[in-house]
Amino acid sequence: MPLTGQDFDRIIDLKSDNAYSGYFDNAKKNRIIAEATNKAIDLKIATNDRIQTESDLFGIYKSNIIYTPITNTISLILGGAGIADYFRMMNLKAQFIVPLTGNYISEALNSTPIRITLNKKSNLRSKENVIVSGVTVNTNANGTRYVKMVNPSKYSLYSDVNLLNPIASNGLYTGTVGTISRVVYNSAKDMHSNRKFSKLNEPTVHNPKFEIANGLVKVYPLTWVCSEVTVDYISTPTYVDVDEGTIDLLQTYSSRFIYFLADEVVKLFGEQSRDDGEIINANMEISQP
Amino acid sequence: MTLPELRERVSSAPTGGYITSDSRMDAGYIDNLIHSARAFIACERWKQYGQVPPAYYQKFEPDFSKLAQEAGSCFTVFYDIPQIIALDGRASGIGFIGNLNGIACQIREVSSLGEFASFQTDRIMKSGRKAYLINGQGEFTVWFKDKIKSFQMEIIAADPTLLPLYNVDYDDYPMDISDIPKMETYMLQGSFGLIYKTPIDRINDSRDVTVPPQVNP
Repeated sequence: MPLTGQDFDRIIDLKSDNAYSGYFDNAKKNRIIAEATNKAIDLKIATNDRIQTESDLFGIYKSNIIYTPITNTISLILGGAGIADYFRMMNLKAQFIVPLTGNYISEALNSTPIRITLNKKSNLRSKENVIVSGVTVNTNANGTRYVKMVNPSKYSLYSDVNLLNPIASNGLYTGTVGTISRVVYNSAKDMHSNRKFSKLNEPTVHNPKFEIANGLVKVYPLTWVCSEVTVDYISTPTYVDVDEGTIDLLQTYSSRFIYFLADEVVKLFGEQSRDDGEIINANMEISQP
Repeated sequence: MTLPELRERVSSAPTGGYITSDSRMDAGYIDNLIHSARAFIACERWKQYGQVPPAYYQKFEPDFSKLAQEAGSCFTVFYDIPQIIALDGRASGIGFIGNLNGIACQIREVSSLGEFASFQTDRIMKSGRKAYLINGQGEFTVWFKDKIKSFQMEIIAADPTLLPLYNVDYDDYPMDISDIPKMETYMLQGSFGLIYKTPIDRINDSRDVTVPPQVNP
């Protein structure tokens, strides 16, 4: 059964005991509901160690959304070019392409899978994601590949991380122009201004960090180009309109959250009308598990 | 167990969860503690048993640069050498050094130019050994009758992640797995300044059961 803004209005009227409490018109109600919605979401995020949080906010909780940063930054402006519906950051993974400096592909065999030889040993390991480029003749070697280590300077190329789909060759390459880069993709921790002096905790491609400032999210280290990020975030909430009678709120929030939100609204009603009894009752409801 | 796994394990122990805003739980700080604790445990092993398990050693091949050599010198210098731990006042964390230019041969490590000079004047030592290596200040100086362009070695590096062939995300951290509980103890009590979490006493019997477990460091 759907639950609309008008239904929500009836819930808060019932909870706030409308006949005996201070009167609010619908416009003021909507303003208070918007404030209560932000507070309720922040309260839920604060207890994000439980799946219940994601379950309550299932319609606005976004996970594994991929963005391409511009100079290591993504816009957070509402309706902007980056995360257009951003509300709160939850987690961010950052991808960096790190070339194997001083190393090049000296041979790519005409075999399936293609076996490449590097001019010196590397620390690439089986199942690592790499980007091969510049290989001539055996051009099938080029692209985003997964390697299977034969020895520290010889690797077979696959198209999937489980190494089930080998890359077929289309010629024999020998030369010095083929390059190989490692794809490093790790979760970033949040960075604060008061930690920027730390030498031990400086961000690296293996331990990246992110900062939210200037309407942007900045991905560190800035000395490496971040080519992609995967973000979990809370998108702009759906604010309840008590005049609205068609949009089903249960498509966005769980009924548990809607009743939790109603208690937050009633608490704010009590604060606005200086009704201590109402605040106490609302607090008791909110503290219920 | 890789370094990121080890980091998560030791930092989860005091926090009960890895995600924390405490700067002591940041990766750089924890890694630094892990490297130090590993070096300390290796030294303990050496002092106690006279040897360090093979898991602590990593292979390393210094890069030769012709341009970096002094003209007309009778020795070869290798630069950008990662710091190697000292096991005690005499022994360093260098295991095997050898394989000169593809020929199986062992190089002897000497601690200083003075020691090397005394070997050169000693009748037996002079004839018994052919190549000597002095380690210090991020450089290896190899004394040999011919120029040496490559050699292999096994070392206990102070920071294992600096070795070019070590892969942080995929390779096992170079220490014996049986020493990891000892590492946790050192880090929890020594560096994090945290004691073990005590259990909640739920039994109303006037008896305190919340005494922390006794740990033998």
